[in-house]
Amino acid sequence: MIAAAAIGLCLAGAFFFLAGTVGLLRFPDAMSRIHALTKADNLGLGLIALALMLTSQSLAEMLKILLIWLVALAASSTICFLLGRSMQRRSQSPSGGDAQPLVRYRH
Amino acid sequence: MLSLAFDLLLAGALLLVSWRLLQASDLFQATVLFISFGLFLALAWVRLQAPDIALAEAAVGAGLAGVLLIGTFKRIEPQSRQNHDANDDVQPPGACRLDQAAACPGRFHYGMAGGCAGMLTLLLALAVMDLPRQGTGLTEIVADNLEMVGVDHPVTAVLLAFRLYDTWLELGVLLLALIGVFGVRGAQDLRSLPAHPVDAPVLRGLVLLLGPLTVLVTVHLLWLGDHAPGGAFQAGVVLAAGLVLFRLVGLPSVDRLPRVTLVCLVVLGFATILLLAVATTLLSIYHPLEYPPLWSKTMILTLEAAATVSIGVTLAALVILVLVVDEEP
Repeated sequence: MIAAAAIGLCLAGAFFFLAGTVGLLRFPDAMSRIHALTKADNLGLGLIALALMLTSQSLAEMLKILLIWLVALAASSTICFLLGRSMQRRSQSPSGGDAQPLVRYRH
Repeated sequence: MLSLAFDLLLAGALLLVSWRLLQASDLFQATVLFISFGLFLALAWVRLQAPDIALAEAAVGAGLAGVLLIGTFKRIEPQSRQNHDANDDVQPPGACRLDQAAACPGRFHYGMAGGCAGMLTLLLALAVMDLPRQGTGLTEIVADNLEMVGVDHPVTAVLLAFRLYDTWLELGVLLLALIGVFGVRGAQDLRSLPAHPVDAPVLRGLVLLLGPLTVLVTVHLLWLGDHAPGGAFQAGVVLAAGLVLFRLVGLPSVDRLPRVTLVCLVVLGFATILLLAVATTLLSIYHPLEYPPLWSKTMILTLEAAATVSIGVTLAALVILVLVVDEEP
């Protein structure tokens, strides 16, 4: 019963990952790509983490998986914010444009 | 059946990514492909039931090397981009773009590099062919002597007791790498580098949240090395990541350390093993680098803790030296 639920959650998680990846490949600009990745992948990761928590052996293991999900959530939303802000600043700057590489650490 | 399919997919992905990596004309694309290659390789190590190597590969091979490559890319990209804009059609794709000032390697250099790589592959293939077909290698000897060492995890026993010499030299290599990068950068000190903290309260909040967590995971990984995959290198990489994050948002990190303290922390791991080597050689009851059996576990933990601090500080200093860009003229 628990195993069936875990498999179902895993499959649902994989579906959201797939949707996020399709969004990354198909969406036209960087902003909507980030949108697709951060929303869909975090949900997918959460569902898979939930499936692993259901099948985990101990409470400690369960809490560790939960912690991993929470840290991934915090990190990915922060990165999303930083990328979005960097892109917004670049579109406002006169020399900006899509020609520059995505990587930029200095502002 | 399912695992065979997974293995085949993984092997195919590894080959595909490495082929694309070699074919990529864009350096940034090649860097990203290199990172994903490292992650696939880590998965392959998991499938080969070598979680220690998988952890090290993911942390060092994909993470750290990836960051260093991106830093190097960032350093050389603006020049080649300007040149690219200036003469758009002159530069064919795949042409040497590494450093316009240096002479581009010619066909002769590529031929020589290819020849050397071929020879190395041949030697490796011969070495693999030379292995006994049926055999467990040194696994049984390690398992038999494990209780002498006082740790439960065979990999830690090999790295920190049976082949401590190798680990010692690895720490030495790390030290040399840092000295080399300091030399190339011409930097005296991390404090003299320009600091451009990212002014994002959100990032600062995240780093402040992750800070204690980083310390916790470092200590956990260090302690885990006793009985499970983990240990000094993995813990050191986590520590380094935390230190680099702190530096990025302008919080106190390795760059605030006085020069003497920095050097002390960097050589701590190497020096501790050197001390052990000198002590055991002079005491002459033991072989060089042999632990007294009673103290074995304590000494391994001490050495691992010292190595973790050294590895963490050294790697963080390396990344900061490579990532920080000097003021543009």
